[in-house]
Amino acid sequence: MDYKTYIESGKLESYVLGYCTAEEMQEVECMARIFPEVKQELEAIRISMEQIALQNKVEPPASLKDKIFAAIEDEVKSVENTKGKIITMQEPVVQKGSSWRLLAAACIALLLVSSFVLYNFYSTNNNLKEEVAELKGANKEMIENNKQLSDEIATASKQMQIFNNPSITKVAMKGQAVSPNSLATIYWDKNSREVYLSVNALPAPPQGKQYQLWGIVNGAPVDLGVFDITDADTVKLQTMKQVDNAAAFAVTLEKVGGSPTPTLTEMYVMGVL
Amino acid sequence: MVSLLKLQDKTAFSYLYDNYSGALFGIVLKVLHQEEELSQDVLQEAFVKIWRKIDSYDNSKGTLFTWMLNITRNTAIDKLRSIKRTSIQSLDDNVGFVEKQYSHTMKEDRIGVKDVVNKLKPEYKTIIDLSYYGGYTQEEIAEQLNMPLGTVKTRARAALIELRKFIT
Repeated sequence: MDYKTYIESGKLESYVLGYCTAEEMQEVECMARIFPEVKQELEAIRISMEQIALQNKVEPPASLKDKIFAAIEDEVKSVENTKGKIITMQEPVVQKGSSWRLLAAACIALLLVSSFVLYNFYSTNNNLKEEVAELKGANKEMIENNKQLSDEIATASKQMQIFNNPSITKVAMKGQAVSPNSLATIYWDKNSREVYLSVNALPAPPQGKQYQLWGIVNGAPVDLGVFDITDADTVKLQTMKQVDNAAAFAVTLEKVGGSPTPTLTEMYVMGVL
Repeated sequence: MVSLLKLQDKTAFSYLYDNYSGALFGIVLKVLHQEEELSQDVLQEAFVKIWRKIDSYDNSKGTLFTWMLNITRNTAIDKLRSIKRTSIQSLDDNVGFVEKQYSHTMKEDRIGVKDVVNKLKPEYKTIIDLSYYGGYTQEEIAEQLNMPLGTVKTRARAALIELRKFIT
């Protein structure tokens, strides 16, 4: 839009003189907001118009003031009498076909279009934000999965090493009187003295209790550590305390933290070499 | 000041009258061809309107003075038109009337003010007179003076630019 053409359109003079319709007023105000030059011109015209009036001052007769204020007094009374009913005055509006109607429409259309575009940007932006958040979530999930898988692979490969180690002795510990269906396996490396425990089937220990592994060495039970049953589904080797010359392995149910000597009545599984 | 006026404070209104009635009366007289009595009635009508409508004045849209000028001018132009409606008069007569009026004012030099409009070239002055004191849009002026609209626009702008030189 060319504001120079607009300035020369005569619209601004009409605006300052109050010859515009409400619609045209809106248009001029719109243009003035967009173009500082239009605003500046509007101000210059206003000053000119005011100056014309000031330079053509004619003081009315002094008596007119009282007359006018009496009329205003009457007006106040009549307004009070009609209890706030306001008589609206008709402002003469000199209106002619506007050559700038298009411009006004364009100005308003511009506002509409820009708010539409803004709204679109806004909603697109929101959608993108949501998508990014979703992708971030998915990505995080994948990273977690990946890490879990890596851990599982590491564990599995470590277990494979243990299983493939020729110096490993496998001892199956079978269910005893208190729990005939229980089962656990010991992988014992006689060279390194390492003891690995795999729980195949053990009931979850009651509150305040924990399973304890024992090795029978020279006819006496040796504490090989307490353990928890974390996840029944995953076969996991738990590293226990090292032992030499064990003749048998057993698991008893003890108080949390373990006991110095096994409670034989609470023996769940046992396996002899 | 404006907020006091909006409360329809009479002291503020009295101040307003003292400061602006001269300028407003000058306009009314010009619009109504120096008809003194009629002009006084119109000024009164205009001030009552200003009083009544002060609440609708929006200072973001222009100065209080311009707002008052427009109410007053419109009131005067309305009056002129209602008078004219009874005796059908063409704008051409009116142009003559206004111009005659000006020369009359110049000769009379009522209160010795320098009328900046009178310093303008006659072709500029006619257009300023018709729009400022006649209430005509540029389209109407072009139509009535049988002049291309472009010429009216150019002259109106040139006239205002000239005026600005005199004012500063």
